[in-house]
Amino acid sequence: MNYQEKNNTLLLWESKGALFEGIPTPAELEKTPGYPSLQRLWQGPCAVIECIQEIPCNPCEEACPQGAIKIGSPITNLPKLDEKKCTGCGICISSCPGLAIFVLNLNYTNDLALISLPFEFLPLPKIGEEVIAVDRKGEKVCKGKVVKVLNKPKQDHTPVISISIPKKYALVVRGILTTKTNFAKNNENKMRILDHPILGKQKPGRVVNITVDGKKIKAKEGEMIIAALLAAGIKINRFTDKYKQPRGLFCGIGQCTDCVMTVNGVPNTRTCITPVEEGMVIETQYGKGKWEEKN
Amino acid sequence: MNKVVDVVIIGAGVIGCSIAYNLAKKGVKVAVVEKKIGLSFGASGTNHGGCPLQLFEPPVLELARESIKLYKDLSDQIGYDVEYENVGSLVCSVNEKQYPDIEKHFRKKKEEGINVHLIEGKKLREMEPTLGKDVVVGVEEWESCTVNPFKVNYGFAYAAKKLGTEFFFSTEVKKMEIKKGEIVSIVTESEKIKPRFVVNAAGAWSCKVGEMAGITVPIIPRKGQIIVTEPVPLNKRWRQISDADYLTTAFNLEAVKKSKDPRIKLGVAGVFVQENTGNWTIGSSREFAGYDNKVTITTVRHIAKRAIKFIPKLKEINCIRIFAGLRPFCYIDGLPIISKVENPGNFILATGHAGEGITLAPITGKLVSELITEGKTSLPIEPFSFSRFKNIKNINKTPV
Amino acid sequence: MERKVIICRCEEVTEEEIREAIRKFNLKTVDEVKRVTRAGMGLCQGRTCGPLIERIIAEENKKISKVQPFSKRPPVRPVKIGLLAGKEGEIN
Repeated sequence: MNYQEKNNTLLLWESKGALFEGIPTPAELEKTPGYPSLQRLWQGPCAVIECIQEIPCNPCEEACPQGAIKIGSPITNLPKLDEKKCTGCGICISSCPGLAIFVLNLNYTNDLALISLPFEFLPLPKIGEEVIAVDRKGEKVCKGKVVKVLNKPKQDHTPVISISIPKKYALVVRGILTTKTNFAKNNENKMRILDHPILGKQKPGRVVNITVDGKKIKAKEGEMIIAALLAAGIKINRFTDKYKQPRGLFCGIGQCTDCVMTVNGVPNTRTCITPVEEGMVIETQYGKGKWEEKN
Repeated sequence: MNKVVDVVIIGAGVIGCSIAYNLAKKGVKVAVVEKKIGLSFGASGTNHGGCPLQLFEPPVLELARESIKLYKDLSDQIGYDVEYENVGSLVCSVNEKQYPDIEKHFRKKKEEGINVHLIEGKKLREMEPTLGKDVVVGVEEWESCTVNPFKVNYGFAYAAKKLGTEFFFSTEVKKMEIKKGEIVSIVTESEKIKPRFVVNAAGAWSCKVGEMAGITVPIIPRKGQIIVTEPVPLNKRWRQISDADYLTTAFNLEAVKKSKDPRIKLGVAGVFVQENTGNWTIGSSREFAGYDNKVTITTVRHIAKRAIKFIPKLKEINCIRIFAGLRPFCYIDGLPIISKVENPGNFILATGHAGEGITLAPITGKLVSELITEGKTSLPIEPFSFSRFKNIKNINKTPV
Repeated sequence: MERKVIICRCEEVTEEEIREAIRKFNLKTVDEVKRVTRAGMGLCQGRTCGPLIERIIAEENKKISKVQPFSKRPPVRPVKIGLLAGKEGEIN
């Protein structure tokens, strides 16, 4: 991403905007009521609520012990941060289901800022560990050091990691990659969750052989075609008719038809609700698909 | 609000909008009054978009022929693409016993001046591999076309609007004020319009509009249901295919009444039209069920069963939508009513195009505009005159 | 920078096309938008784009407080024509 300098100290970021890319622009964030002023950020630790979508949700309002977060009525209002009341305690970070709340301390040291962010991957990093700090797109920005790891029961499975980063990236960094967070593409079991924190240990299951665009893939008996594809690192299911754009999993509940592929010669088969079968032949669908000539 | 216009057209379907356009072209000030919130909520929005010339019988055939010719240049004329496609049509049979009927149909159409070809089952399948082995013989011709019915409706309406026509939506006519045998005002909830002429183009609701003018318009709704499929590759040769039984279910009420076949009783005869996007619209059915436009599963299953006899590969294709529509059907003789009436003297009927409305929209618009502005029409419309009902003893007896 | 926001994912109808159609023809319902733009005629039959189009109509026609929702028709899920047709002698 390109960066623009502002006030010569804190870097900004570029994006196509919340509507088009899912990532707000600096101007859009400045307008949201949960985003504190730069002046307040320089005063000391403060919550940064990057909540930009009006949905019925208000755990942050309930969580703040200072009463610094207000949503009121209707419940779809964006949360408003009273920066005078905010002490930067960070209790609100774990309360947000959208993981949109952070606490920024711009004055951690002369050169470093401290950012506390929600982190729900296992295993958690350890204090003192060096991690890679990423921006809102998930792209690497700089290196960071883990200063604090909070995982109390009250946080309800949303640990809060505090990392120190060079001050200038304080407005840009919003996530971390630990050495163990590995999104390897070619190892099916890396994508499969074998030990789910709620559903428990997954049984290995019988292997089912399927072919995808001529390539042999191993799938697990009983799982949906899309799961087998994602485990194999295949994210694109089809290309659209008009603009030839790639599509993959979208709704996952058999409704949007973005994931359809040609299965055993039949186009428009929803891979998110069709279980794998031995010997299934799956092909990327181009446009409306080719129908096999059956006689 | 009071308004003064030359013509009020009741109903903004393809017929109403075509009339509006043709009148507006001649500088006539038109107001179209439509009870729904927009266009195509009636039969104009629940059809195949097909104009199969060989399924027309005289005297309507003459109108259909002219109308299809008008469709050829319509897009350029109104400045909106109605997706005219010269796809021809095929009428075929899956019943060996119907062979002589198909031959009769072939000879009749030839006499009527349509360039038809009679093709045997085997040859049919060579030319069109999607046709099933049960198809024994067929008749094709290449004058027919398909259009996008929504685009026709919106195209005519927009072109009329640009020429000064005013449209009033969500506006139902409540009553008509009649003085000395002339309609002097059309009264709705919000408007009072003073017209010189009033056109009844209200489709399946023409009878209700007629009542307000003090006359019995013998129109009742004739329900039809259509299955829409997912897109499949376009047929090689014919994209507009009809079952020979259509000639019975559409035109022979007596035979339908007497039949013991549950499919014929529901008026189900195959009509398959493939849109340019690849979706098949599969019909057809003909039932008298009042104004109920809900889909009924028994009829739909008969339609599906009939469809796979003609095109077996449809068995494996998904249906993504099923809808029902109400055709305006003249229960006295099944012919359209395009005519002035004696009383009120300024009331004109343009309705009864059951199952033929899309095909006849351009020509109806032209003829009614001629009737109003010149008093005579370029094609004979005597067979469609309202006066043919003068001596009907029990005009209120409907075939339900 | 060009913004081509796709509203109807199945038929690939952009937000621009929908807004243009609403303004040109003064459309007030999702059904009308469907007929003019083809949005909602695809495989998912408006399940994804329906609410989005409702919102766009409400934005364009500031007078409307409640937009008539998309007309829903059977089937609830795509069903093969062969299944509807049934086996020999199944329907009468």
